[in-house]
Amino acid sequence: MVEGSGQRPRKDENAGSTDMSSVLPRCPIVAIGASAGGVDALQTLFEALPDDLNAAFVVIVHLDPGRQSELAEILSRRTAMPVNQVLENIELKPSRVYVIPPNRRLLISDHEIATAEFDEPRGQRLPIDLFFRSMAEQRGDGVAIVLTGSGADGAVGVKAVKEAGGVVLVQEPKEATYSSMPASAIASGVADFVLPVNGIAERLIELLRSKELLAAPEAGLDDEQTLGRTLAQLRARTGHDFSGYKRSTVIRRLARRMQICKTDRLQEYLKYLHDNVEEVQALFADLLISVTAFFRDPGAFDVLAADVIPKLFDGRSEDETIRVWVPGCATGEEAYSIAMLLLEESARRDNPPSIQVFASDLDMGALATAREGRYPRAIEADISEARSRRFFMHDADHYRVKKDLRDVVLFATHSLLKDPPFSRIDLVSCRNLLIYLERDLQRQACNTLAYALRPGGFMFLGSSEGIESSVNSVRVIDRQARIFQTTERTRARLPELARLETTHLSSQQAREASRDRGPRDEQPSHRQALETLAPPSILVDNNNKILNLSESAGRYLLPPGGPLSSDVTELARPELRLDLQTGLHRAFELNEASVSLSIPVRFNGHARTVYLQIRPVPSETSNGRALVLFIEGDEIDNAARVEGNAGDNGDATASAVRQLREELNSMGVRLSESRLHYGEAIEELRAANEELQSTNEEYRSTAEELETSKEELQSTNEELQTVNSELKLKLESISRAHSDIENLITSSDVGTLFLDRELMIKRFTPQVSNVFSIARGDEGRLITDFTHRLDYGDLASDARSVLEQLTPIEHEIRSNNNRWYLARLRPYRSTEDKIEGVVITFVDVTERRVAEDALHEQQRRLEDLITALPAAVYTTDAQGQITFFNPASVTLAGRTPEIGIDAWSIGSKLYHPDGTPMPNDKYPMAVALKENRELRSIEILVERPDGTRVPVLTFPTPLRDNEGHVIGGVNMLIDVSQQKDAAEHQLILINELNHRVKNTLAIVQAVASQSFKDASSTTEARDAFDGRLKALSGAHDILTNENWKGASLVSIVTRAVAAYHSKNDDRFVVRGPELRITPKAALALAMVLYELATNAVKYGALSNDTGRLTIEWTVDFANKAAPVLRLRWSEEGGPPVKAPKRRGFGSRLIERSLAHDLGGEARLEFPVSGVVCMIAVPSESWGGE
Amino acid sequence: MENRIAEPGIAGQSIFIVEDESVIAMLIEDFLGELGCVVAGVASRLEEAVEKISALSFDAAIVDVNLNGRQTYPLAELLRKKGCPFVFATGYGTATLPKALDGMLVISKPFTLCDLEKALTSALMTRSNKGSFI
Repeated sequence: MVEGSGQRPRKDENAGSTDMSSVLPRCPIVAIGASAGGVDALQTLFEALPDDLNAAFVVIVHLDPGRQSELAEILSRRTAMPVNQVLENIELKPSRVYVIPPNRRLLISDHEIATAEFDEPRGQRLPIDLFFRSMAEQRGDGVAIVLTGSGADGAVGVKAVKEAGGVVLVQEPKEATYSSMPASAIASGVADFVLPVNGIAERLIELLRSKELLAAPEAGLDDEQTLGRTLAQLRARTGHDFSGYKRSTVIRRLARRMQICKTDRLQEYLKYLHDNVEEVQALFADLLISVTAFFRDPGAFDVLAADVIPKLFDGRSEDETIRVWVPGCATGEEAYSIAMLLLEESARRDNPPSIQVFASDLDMGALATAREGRYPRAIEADISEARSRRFFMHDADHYRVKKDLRDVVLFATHSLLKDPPFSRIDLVSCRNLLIYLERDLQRQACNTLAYALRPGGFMFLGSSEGIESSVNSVRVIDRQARIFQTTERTRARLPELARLETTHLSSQQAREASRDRGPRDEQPSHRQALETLAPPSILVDNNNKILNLSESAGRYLLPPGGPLSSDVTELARPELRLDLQTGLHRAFELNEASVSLSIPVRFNGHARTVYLQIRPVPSETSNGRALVLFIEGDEIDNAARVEGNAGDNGDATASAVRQLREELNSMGVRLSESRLHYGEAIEELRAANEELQSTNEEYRSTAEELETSKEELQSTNEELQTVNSELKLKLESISRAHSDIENLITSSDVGTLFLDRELMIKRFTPQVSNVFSIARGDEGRLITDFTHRLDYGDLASDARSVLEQLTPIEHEIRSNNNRWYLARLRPYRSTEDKIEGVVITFVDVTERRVAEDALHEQQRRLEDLITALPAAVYTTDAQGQITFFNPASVTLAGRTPEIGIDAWSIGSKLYHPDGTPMPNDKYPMAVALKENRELRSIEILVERPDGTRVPVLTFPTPLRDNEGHVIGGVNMLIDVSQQKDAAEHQLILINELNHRVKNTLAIVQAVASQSFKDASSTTEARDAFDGRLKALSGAHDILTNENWKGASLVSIVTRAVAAYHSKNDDRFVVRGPELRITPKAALALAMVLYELATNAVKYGALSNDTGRLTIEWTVDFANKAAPVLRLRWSEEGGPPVKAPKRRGFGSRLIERSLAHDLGGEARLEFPVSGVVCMIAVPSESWGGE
Repeated sequence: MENRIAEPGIAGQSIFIVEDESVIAMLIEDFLGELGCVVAGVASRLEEAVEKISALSFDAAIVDVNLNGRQTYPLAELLRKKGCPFVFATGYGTATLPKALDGMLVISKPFTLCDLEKALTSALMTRSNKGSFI
């Protein structure tokens, strides 16, 4: 059964088979990992590949989980091979391309390619590593290709691929769009080829073709003899023998080397190996590749940490050391993992013992990596975050172990199989090595490990390694975790290390030899006869180890208590031991045969004499062997002994001999004890020596490192000198800049105060003393300790909030001497962008403030003015959008203009003065701005929302910038509707006047016409006309005095009789309430009274000196709704009245005018005593007052 | 005076007078008498005029434009309906005649007998031209 490196058996390999086809899968897999920049690289690659390579290509890239991938589509345009996105488990077939789907990872299982969910969250997914590992586990070899990409995905996977016998190709980082991923893969140290993409394609074609050839039987990989010669070659050149390594592993890796060296047959490769020193090293390195990881098999490590590590610390004082050995440590992950557990436990203890981890391996290259302790970022997957913080420094794409972890691990070149082991070890961890060894070698190795442990020490073995069958003196602590403990008080024997190599080879040769000779030899029967007949004998090697016993030789052996040893000097009966040792010594050292004196030996109570004959046995194959023959003599007579004992008094010689013999016996016992101790001491010394050698080696490598470091230091020194001179220049420029800044600060009027995070003064400029009472030397004191002139109590808390929020604060603050300062607080950012305090600047803004205030005041006055203006004023921008308007605009337009919406006019619609609508572009404001000239007194009609139109005069004026470009406009609208009304009113008045004048002329015409018609003579006519005209004029005078609004009844009456009044006052009675009457009533009454008076003067009471006239009036309220003015004209004392024969104009006028003009009534009576006229005027005609 | 009556078309026609000034109304009555016309009635207020236009029958009317400050234009419509020609008498100068008087016969105060005769003749001619009377 061929086993993979600690993983489960490969399905395609049949138990015990050495058939090459099972080692090399029929359909090789080429796994291609790419990330950023990968699409181009993949296209180039597939374009360069033919479609008959008979390999399955699997493309793994990092895809956005939320988006469909077009990659399959893109690649299918570049290759004739079918390209599939893997959506379900499908069988892998040659000459096909399989592409990873989004949000899934790919795995190989059996002959299928499968998808699975990611276990990790997005961002920590490493699909390339996962697939490479899966391919390595399931298929052994295969080709891994790492193309462009950022990050380090693939770096861990390529190691697994290489370990499994695969080939690793990496894109040249210089060619890659993103070099990080290829560089990480190269840094893992397992890249076979670093090439540009086209080179990779060429290489891949060669590799796949050669792989086909290698699978053929003529490749010679199953030719044992050539294989043996190849390994012998390797042993001769490197001193390391791999013949005991698992055959399948060796073949797989040889096949890999052959692929790489382009040799199709093992014979050819052997020749190549012979001719190329480098290839020997390459093959050696390849054979040593092992896959390891931090805390690989975490469950086992958990058990180790819980059950074993604490026991190592228990009972140890701080001056003791816990010693751990990790053989086959490779690149150091296992050693560091255990060291981490130890350091963690150590941290939990008070006064912990010191820790020493020895880590050894054959591979110097791997050890160099281990010593450097630098690992790709991909190890994140194996190390908890806490451990990663505690034990690693992170740089870019790598983790580097911290010094305290590095210091407890000592790395040394050491062969578990060849070199003496370390000793007094508390814990041996060998989880990776034994599996590569065949069973015999495994057993040897286990013995070595057991030997290295102190009693009660622990073994931590790989998951597939067995120990129970190999070593007896252990017990199982945890079978699952493969942890064992050596039993207390037992001490394994030092295994045969020195001769391991030769022994192993010789046994192999012996097997071959015996196979050759066996059937035709009669020796065994002869030997059997001899054994029966010859004295009992033992064949011993030069370590005193029993190689063979003759049938009856057991009689002379008496194993002591304790573990069974094969050392003849321990197994032989105590009486024989001394002579045996002496004889064997002579045999091996001097190559002399010897025969002992007779030795009394007691067998079952019977003492017998025994002689020992010891002679070296010459041998071609071994260093030395000796044959011990036991020749038994006579029984020693009991009686003789009794006699001897009894003969005290007589036989002095016998007693002396007896005494001497007893002394000799006791001396012998002591000597043999000493030898035993000596032997143990030697063993320990050898182990100690080995350890010292390892340490020495470590020191040497450290010294080499130091040498390198020294060189580095020298070059660093040179660099530093360069840097230093650069720095000098920089310093000069900085000091120049500094003095510039100093001058700038001093010359500016800005007070600047630098505070640190505790608000202590770091620095300030002289102007600060205008505000704060601080002086030179106050640096380092708290700013809050100083008084200031500002009305700014929150300064300190503002400064703290700037430190917390990092947002600048600004305030304008008045000082107590009536000046204004702009205080600006900003965080102080160092060049590293750290906040190291606060910068406060004080700018004296008093003048600006005063100017601002004045400006504000002016602006306010201007605004008041514009607001108070009765004219509408508004402004627009250059496009006519209204930007401002005053309240009068709202009043005039009957609406509130909408700023930003209304254009050109505050009114919704404008009309020409004649009422025709005005188009927008003819609006006066639009014309003014378009033509860039001011317009004056343009008359328009503004329509209000209620439909009324207001006549206005507009004065649009463009506003211009300094270059004279129009930037807007201002317009004033004056409402001229009142002026308009006034003009119309005036026109009406003129018309009215005209009308009245003409009407009056018509009246005059009528009066004249009547007067002349009635009169008998021209004189009479003229007098009558003159008098009437005068009365009319008089009434006009009264009305004109009262603006034709009405007249006083008293004035009218008084005026009518005024001409006669002066003659005799007591002849007139005028009586009645003062009333205001309408102009029409006044004129009518004036004319009526004039006619009555004229008649009275001519014929009535005023024609003589005795007549009297009474005019009296009342208001008759009989009908309350329509009161009536009643006036009575009554004459008496005049000449007797005769009723007139003919009604003249006078009486017609009296009756007509009252009835016609006033809707009233006049009744003229002519009693003899005197004329009476009764007049009634309805209220509507006199006004109703 | 007799020769005046010989004027055909006017003599014997009955005329309705709308005039608020009694003196002027009397003058117009005198003029009409001289022209051989019959005074069908006199109204001095608007309501009275409206009433009398429908109540009385007459051949033509002389209407003062302004009755105590009230315009008499509405009467024109009534008279047109009745089929009576009419003459507006007004103190307004011909240059400043209100728009409402456009296209109507207007006689400007103060007017002479001759003016009145011409105006009435024209008014009555309009009616006879329309053929609604003869």
